[in-house]
Amino acid sequence: MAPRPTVALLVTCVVDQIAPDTGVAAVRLLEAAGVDVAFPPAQTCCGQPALSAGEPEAAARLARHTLEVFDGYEAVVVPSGSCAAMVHHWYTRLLTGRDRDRAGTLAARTFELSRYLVDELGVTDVGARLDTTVTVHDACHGLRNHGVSRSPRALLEAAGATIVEMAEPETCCGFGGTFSQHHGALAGALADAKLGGAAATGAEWLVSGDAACLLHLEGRRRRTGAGPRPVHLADLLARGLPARTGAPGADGP
Amino acid sequence: MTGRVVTPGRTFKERAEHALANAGLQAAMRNLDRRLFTAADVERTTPWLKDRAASIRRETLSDLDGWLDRAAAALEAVGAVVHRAATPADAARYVVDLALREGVREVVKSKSMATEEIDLADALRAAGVASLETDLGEYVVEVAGERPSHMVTPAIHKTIPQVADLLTAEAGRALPPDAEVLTRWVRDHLRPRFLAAEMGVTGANFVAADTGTVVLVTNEGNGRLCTTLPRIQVVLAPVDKVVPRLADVSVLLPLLTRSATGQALTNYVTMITGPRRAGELDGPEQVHVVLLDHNRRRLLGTPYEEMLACIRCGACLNVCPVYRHTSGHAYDSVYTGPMGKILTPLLSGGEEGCDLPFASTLCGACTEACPVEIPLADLLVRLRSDLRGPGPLVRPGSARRPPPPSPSAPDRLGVPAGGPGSRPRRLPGEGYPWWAGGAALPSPRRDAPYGRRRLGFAAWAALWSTPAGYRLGAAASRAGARLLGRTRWTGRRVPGSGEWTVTRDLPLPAARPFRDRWAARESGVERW
Amino acid sequence: MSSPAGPVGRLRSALEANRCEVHLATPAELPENLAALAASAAAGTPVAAAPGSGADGGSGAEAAVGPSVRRAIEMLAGDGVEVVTPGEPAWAARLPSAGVGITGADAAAAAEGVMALRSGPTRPRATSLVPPVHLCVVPESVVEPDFEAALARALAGGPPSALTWIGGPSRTGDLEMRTTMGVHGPLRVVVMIAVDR
Repeated sequence: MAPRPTVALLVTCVVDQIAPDTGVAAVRLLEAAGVDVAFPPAQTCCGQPALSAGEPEAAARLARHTLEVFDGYEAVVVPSGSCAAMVHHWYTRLLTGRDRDRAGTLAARTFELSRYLVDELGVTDVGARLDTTVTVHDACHGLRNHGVSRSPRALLEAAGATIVEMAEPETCCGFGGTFSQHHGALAGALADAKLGGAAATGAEWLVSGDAACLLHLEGRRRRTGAGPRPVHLADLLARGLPARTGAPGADGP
Repeated sequence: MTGRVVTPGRTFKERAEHALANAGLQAAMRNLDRRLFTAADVERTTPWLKDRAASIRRETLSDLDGWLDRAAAALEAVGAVVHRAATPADAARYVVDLALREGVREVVKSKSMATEEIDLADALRAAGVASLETDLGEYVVEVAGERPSHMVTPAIHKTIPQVADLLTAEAGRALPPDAEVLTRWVRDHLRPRFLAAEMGVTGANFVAADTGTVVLVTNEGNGRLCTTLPRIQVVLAPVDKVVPRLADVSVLLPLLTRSATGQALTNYVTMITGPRRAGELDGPEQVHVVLLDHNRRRLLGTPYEEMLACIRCGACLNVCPVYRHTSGHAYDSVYTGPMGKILTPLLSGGEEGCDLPFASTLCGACTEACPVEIPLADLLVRLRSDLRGPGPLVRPGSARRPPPPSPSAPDRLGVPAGGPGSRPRRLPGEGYPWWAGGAALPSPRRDAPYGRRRLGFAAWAALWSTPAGYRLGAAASRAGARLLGRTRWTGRRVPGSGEWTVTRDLPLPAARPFRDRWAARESGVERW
Repeated sequence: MSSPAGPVGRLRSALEANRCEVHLATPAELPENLAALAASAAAGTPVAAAPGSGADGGSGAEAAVGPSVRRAIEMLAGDGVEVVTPGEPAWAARLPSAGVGITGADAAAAAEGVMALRSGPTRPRATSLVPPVHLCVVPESVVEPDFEAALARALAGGPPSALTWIGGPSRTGDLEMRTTMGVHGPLRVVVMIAVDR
């Protein structure tokens, strides 16, 4: 029997600190798909906040740390399109010399969660069963710098969910990192457009693969009441997995 | 900008907020067809266009000075007068002097962003020469005393009823909010002025270096009228309009028009090679071509050189979520949208629009839409690091100017000024790919390498590049969250959250981060 | 008549999509059909006719249609319609009142639906610009499959002082992105494609 593949989880600082249930869900999904998960505890942050603030040296420092931490794993899986895209698109542009070579190697082995399952592992049915209607938000960096588009939909369909596409799934939700702290009104307006588009589909859930986008959208939804509940792809699919014993210790949103 | 209505707000942020609150503007902007014809459609229908276009643009940029010389020689060979203008003021002065010398009383202008760049209409009026915009959308914004808000559809921010009110005042009689009637009125009102004007001013979509031909595209025919009836024609061509061969426009034009309006070609394409020839009954007697630099050639050899490939199609504006919600006037610059966010700080040498690169979610829709493959989102990120922050590098009115590129700085090829053996002082960040090439902007890193933003992020990165430092920081924010009670969401502003809570609830750190739960699972306390 | 799939057929479809009115005419039909179209478009106003002659730097394609157009002009004059041509002193004075301008074409691109007109002493630019109706006679021999080929043909012999490409009537989308016709150029463009048979 072929050995189970092992992946390292790059949990991301947002999931680690604010949405840990998503990390738990990601692990459960991977294990249900027949993958062993390692969690290198020395990981911190991919460095994206520094880069988008205009501080590439600080971002490079965190990039070098990330290279150290994930050196040697055959695959790195990330429950966030934008952090995976950071590794793919920016690490080789930020670093020089030997570090740049190592960055290229890491990029080739790093995958957003749904892309790992569907494109690397070839698995769309992880055993989850969903009897619900969903609409999908294609988070920007994952979509444009890492090709995350088909894979979330494939997983949802295999689980039996009905997907109703909104008018502009690929239009930015307005999070944009530091943008949403500095341009509160604009960020809110873009969130309203996204939530309005989602509401028009009549879906029960607004699904995406980026925790930060979802927190921004949920935060806006709590003010306006508009739109279906934003949920991470991993969280929704994990809900549909067969029940496990033991106390989950959740402190969900 | 003298004589123009200034959009309320001193920063992009303030103007954007005004725009969001303007219901009429929001209604008008919904008319902007986001996906007239995207780069993906070009890929699907005519995939060879993008590759050939990109290769023509790169060929030009690899020797822009050479192509400019050839273009100037070819223009002169067919009887055009060529003037190279280093600055907007220089270009405007040339045109004004020409008008005065030739006794021109009125100038008719065909739509040109370059004429906005040099404030030509204001310069002419200040010298007593009347100036009339002829493109319908440009005419409308001129009557309104505003700037164009979009480079292809300048009056997209106006509804038809608003245009009717504006032109009613101009007409002296009530004009109905009917597009056909308004169009007919503009045609009839402007026709006599075309016939009487002594000078026509246009921009150029392309200038061919082999034949000395200026290429102009319009749908309305105003470009043709401006270049057929007046006896003097002036073409204002920024240096990045040069193409090696006239035949190259058979690739670049369809790409431009498809990306701009979805048309295979615009209704009119006018190719002008010199003034009228012996025996011809119409066409200008004199053709003057002003080649405008305005800090463009300074971008060569820097990562920003790519911006000179821009063909002004407006596709990046049409897909930008920020532009669609705020419209062009929020940018308070000649060039708006994603390309404007990059070009404005660059052309102004870091003095204007320094908050613009930060007014983006970096979603990358612009990069995806660009038909000549400019990495717009990447250039925005790069600009954020080259600009110290959202404020201008030099405060207006301050005595301190940015220093000229330091004599000890490496030249464009990275060779230190004192020769390969000399060693200039090594500055923070040198050796990173960011430093490749010459200086497109006066560099804050050389001016003041240890600004507050840099120190703050350097400290953050130092802390967070160690697991212990990261856990310390995370524990501190959890402790802070506990002060707000055992809640996951708060509506209150907390340190570091900026304007988040103005429009949204803020998620707070979880009591137990993922890594603690993993550890608990490893030790058997928790099962998933 | 030419098949829809041939260059003439494709040019016709593209021009009609650009809102031109398109007619085909054989050499036998051309003079009479052209005269009838011009008279009806002019409706009592002068007809400005500047088809060009091969001698003045045009593409030489006028040799194919020149005689037919001149025959049409004779027919119009015979019916009492005022016709002005560039050689006459009255041209400059009467052009602004003309209801229709007749030109030839030096090249046409079938895929995009555009026609190219070279300027010259007998081919003033204003003929296709100032009158509200532009009547363009396109010889079949100048029709190329696409813009790239048409450009090469139009530039043969060197670029003229003005090479003008026309797709159809003047239009704008500046008002709430709704298309309206007849801004600064002609409101109607009528194309007569001169086919061999």
